[in-house]
Amino acid sequence: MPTDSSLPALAATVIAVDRAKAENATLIVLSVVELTPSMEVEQHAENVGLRRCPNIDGMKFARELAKQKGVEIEEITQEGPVAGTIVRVAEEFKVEAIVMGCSKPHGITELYLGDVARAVTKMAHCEVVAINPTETQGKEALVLARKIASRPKEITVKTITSSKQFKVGLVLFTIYIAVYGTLLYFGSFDRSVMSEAVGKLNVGMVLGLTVIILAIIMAVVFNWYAGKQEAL
Amino acid sequence: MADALTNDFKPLAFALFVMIVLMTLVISIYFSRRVRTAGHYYVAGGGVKWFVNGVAFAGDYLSAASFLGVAGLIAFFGYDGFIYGIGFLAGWIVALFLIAEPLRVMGKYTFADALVSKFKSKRVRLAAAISTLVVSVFYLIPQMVGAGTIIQPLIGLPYWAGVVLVGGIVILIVATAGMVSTTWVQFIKGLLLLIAGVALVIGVLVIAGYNPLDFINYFIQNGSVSPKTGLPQFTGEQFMAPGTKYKDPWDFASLMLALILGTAALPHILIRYYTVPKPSDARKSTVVAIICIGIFYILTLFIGLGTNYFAGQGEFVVNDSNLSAPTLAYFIGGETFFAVISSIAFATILGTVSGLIMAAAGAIAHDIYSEILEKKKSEKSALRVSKLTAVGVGMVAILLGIAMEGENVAYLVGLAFAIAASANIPALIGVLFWKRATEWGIISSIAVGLSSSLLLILISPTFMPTNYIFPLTNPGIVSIALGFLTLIVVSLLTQKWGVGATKPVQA
Repeated sequence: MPTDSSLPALAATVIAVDRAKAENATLIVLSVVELTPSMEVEQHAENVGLRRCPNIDGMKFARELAKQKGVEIEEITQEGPVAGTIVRVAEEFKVEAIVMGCSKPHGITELYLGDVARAVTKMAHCEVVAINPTETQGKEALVLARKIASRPKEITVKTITSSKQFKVGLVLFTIYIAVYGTLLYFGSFDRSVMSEAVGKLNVGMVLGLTVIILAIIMAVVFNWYAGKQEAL
Repeated sequence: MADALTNDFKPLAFALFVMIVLMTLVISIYFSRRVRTAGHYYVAGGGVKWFVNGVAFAGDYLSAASFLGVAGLIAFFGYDGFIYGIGFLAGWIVALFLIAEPLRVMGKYTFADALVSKFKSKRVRLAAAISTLVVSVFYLIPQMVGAGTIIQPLIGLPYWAGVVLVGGIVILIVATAGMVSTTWVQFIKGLLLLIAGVALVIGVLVIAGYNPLDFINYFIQNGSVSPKTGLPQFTGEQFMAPGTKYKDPWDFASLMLALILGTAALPHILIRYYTVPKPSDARKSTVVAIICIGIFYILTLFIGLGTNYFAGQGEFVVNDSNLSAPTLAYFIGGETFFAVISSIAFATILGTVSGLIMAAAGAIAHDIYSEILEKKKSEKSALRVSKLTAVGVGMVAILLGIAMEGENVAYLVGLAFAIAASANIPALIGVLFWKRATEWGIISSIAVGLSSSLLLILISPTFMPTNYIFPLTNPGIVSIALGFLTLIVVSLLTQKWGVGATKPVQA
């Protein structure tokens, strides 16, 4: 059962948990992380268009509800194209059925976002149960979800300056500022130096190009270092 | 006498222009749908996602200022134009190493969110939202000026019509849909911009018959002409070193300071950095962006110099510095190439304008409406407020854009950078790195940084060409310092007196 914390997905969760209990089956809950960057207003519009409830954690809702009803669940988070990932995970786990909410986007929302439920139905090789909740079903699921799966509001402020990666960044930054500062000093207050010849160029051009190329090199080096840190 | 770009209707150019703009829109809709409904990415495993994001970041950043403005300033003022490219890129280093990583660890996505995470204060949020709004509007002005300028030779419409056209299209997109996947538009645009840049530079070097080093050397040896007249303007020593536009050393220093500190303080750039879900992807994207932007500014150096070179050969004249790159394109590849270049510039403007308007709309809808007025009940009503804001901000930008006709767009962006750096950087640094910063210290640093930079611009030679009160064209060196000074003094005072100081909330 895929969930994105939208109202139809919450209603589908209730139905999926009940069905898993009745059939004594394991419920596999999938959350697909979309990789397209979206800005706040875009996200906002998308949430409204798909009836998402940003304050509710859909995974947590499934987990808590399953616990209450004694249903075994497995949680999976994957990234990729939403519909394709749903179908692929269903095939990997050889699921009996995909239970999902259909958000039924219409108009411009559909043009931009597409209808995931329809795409899954088209591609899946197993039973697809698309839940189009009635108003009461939706409301009931939402009330239940608010009770047991609200997202914590506070995000902790951590001491970031002590992390190793940040310190390495700071060293690179200091080197860069020193070079930029040199350019600033000579460019502003000792300009005669800037027009002195260096090969075919002059000091000003060499310094300027160095600052540009140094930025590229530092970014690549920092990325390499951070990647290595992450791999550890 | 050589010809300038004429302002008549060019049917072929116009047809190409409409085609490119439409294609960009259609492709972006197609891709944003695919992300949700496709079975697989067209590349296995979606491994290139950070590349797409990175080029999109670059596309977002390389606004009209870079393509039209920086190239124009280099054509007219040589090294003093090149410094814009250097500074615009340097800002990314500040963002990558100093601001963005800590903010990401904190899990904060907007300027206001970051500040409020330390001080649970509506006053801080309000100050941050106002600053976001002002910076966005100021950054919008040069985009509008760019739009008006490019539309004249392309379609033959008057300047103001171009401004209204861009403003209108963006308002329509944001207000009706609000969810155009700007990422894909920016990706396509960023890629086209780089390809077009490379093509222009190859054209310049091949026709002029120089290798890159010798081409720079040509100007060091021979000096430059004025692209407006084709007559000698600067000696090589003057043109290829600082001092042609920024004669006052402090003015040059002020500009360099504003440029390096401005990027990390721009609301629409910070927002973009956080739109990718995984930190490692965000970092990789930033690196791709830095590479693309760095290469692009090296290309603009040759585009600018190329314009100057061919104007000196009597091939054409350029009346408006913003039209340097398009005029060069017309000379190198005729009407078709000119249309392609202009369309990319126009798409650039559309993308940047919609990003800025969204940042401003977010400030109003999220920070002021939802958080400060506590109208959290309905997502729908908050969306409506953000759309109304988008319309409002768009209209203000149109009016200011019309008023600023003729100014170089990179120069105007330099001013926006100074405002952003003055208002936001002291507050951000205070919140992130200084334990003793207080609520009132942050609020007053935003207020002083914002108002002093605005005031200094109003009494500078930009607005008072002859009777200016403040001699520097870029206020950065004074207003950024004032912002920091206010942060320190007010924080220390309110700590001692215990007035209005809020204890940081420790987690």
